[in-house]
Amino acid sequence: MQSKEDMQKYIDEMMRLYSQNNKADITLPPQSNTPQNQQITPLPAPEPVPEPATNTKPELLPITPVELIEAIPENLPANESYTETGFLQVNVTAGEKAFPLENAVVVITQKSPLGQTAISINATDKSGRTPIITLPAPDIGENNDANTPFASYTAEIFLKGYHTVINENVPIFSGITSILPVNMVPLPTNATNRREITFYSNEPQF
Amino acid sequence: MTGEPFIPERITVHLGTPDSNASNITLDFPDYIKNVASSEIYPTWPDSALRANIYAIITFALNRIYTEWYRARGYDFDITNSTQYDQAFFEGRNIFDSVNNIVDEIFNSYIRRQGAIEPLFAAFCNGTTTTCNGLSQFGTVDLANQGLTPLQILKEYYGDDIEIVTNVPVATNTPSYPGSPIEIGDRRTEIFTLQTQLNRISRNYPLIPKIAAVDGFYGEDTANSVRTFQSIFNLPQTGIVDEATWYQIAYIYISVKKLAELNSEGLSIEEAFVPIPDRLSAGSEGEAVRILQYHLAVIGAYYQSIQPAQITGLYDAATETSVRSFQRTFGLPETGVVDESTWDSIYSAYAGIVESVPLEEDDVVLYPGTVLREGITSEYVRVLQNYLTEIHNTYPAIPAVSTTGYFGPLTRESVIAFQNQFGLRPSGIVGAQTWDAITSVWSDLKFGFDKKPFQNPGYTITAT
Repeated sequence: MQSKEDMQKYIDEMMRLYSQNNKADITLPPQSNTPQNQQITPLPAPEPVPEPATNTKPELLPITPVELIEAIPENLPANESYTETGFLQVNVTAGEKAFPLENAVVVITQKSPLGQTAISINATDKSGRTPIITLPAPDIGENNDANTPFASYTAEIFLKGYHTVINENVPIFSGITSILPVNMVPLPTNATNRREITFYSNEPQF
Repeated sequence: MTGEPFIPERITVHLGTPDSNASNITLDFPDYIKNVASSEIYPTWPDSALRANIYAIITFALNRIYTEWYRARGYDFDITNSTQYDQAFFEGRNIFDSVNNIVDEIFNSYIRRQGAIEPLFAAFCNGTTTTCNGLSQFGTVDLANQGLTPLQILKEYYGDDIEIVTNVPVATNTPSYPGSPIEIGDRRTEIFTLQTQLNRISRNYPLIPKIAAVDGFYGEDTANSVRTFQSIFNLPQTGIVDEATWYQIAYIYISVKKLAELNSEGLSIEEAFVPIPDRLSAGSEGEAVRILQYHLAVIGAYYQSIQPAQITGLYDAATETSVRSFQRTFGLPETGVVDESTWDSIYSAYAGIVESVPLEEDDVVLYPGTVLREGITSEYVRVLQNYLTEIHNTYPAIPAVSTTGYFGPLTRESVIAFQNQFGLRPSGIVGAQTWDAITSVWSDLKFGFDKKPFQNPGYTITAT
């Protein structure tokens, strides 16, 4: 299972690469159980990202609010059964919706044989919202059972000065938009680590 | 509780069985319902099934609140998230758009027996592994597929003598929905409220365009602001203010104002240098307690698990609850007593907020502490006259007054006109309540007209 530090390094690497508008192939960081010099198959190069009109980039985040990675790695067996798509939208605010948080980084990951794999990274806009993120979901089909199949993803939200929020088991149903409201909490000044707050969801069983 | 049921602004949920050692979180009532509905049923179910279930969920929660089921037994919460006792709720979870839209529409409705007032004890169970004398969630899917309406589905389970009450007042301390949707071409007094609230919200959500004229007329600019608000808050972007939009605007306005008011309260706190005693506990009184309560109020605005404190200067039961919830959230022993290590954590949490959050510059003058009445001369009277004159620009029925500093008959008339306009007792004297109302309206209008950087462009505002 890919460690949290690896995930963080991965994200930092993504940011560094995109800040240079580097169109080189993106490679995943080496896995802990593979030799250092063996790289994983790179993801296809994403679409070029246009420079923003005004140069008001905050210090942590040199990326523009566009979806950076759309391609799903092909060797994820779970995806073979996900023939439909569902949607996710993340709304990041503080003070219980008193004000929106711009430039929060929202990473959507999925469990895979490689561990947690990032499949989408976005930054929030001036209203604290990500664009609508399209994610693979299972076909609902002719369901006589009240239980409906869905896909599970993890959402991680990072913003300097705030606790990191991790939302596990975010359910995505075919054709449905899941709206994820995230209330960010400012870090106390004596917090020695960037403390994480993790939420878990469970869907009903019938 | 007695009297006509209403929808509470917020609800406190215990995250475990009633006697378990778990946190309580407090959140807006519609958000609670959206969470429960997203946790209890599938979003892909047919519309009538979703609605029937959501009516039951709302009614169940209202029943707990109206009967004070937990509060009357000494618990400090309204409901739990244990499905053994109440209904499922997962803190921080996502909401489904199908559920979101329905709850926005019906959160202020509930089921009751004809002839009764109380919200029904709307028990439900999944209908597969458990059955009960109430709604079967599983069963609603079939009934909906057979073409039954939500009310018909509910009658199947709860009996023929039930009815659905709609347009229930919401206890938000802001004006109620006027009863019919507001759209382009309308001219009504409620539109003043709408325009003022939207302008105030747009200060924090700059993509919402400013409404140039707060004039009670619903024109194209007001509709545009409404549409942008709807898009940000996941409402259908109709540009029409229906009940769902009206209350969503009210809830966001309340959140925005809460922080602004705390900021202005903070100005006087910062000026007061008061030595803090080693411990504060139940029964303590004085300025140090006010400072404590102020810090807890600010911190509580950011942490749902910290119960808010009123700034009274007296360390009462509510203050102790607030302190305990703070200690719990920060991993301190839950003693309810504020010792040095609790203060350290409070300062650190507060400083963290101040560091991360852009502070609003709000130069509202705080209530001077003495009642202002006819015959008095003071600097505060001059401030009052200035506020009234600026408010006059939007509300011409409130006369402008020269800022002489002398509270004469003209000033008194203006105060009475303000009190009449805003539903206060028209006494003609300015105590804490009237002063706070005047500064609140003035602040909304002033900050409403202020454009911030990146404000959605449109036109130049000239406050007329």
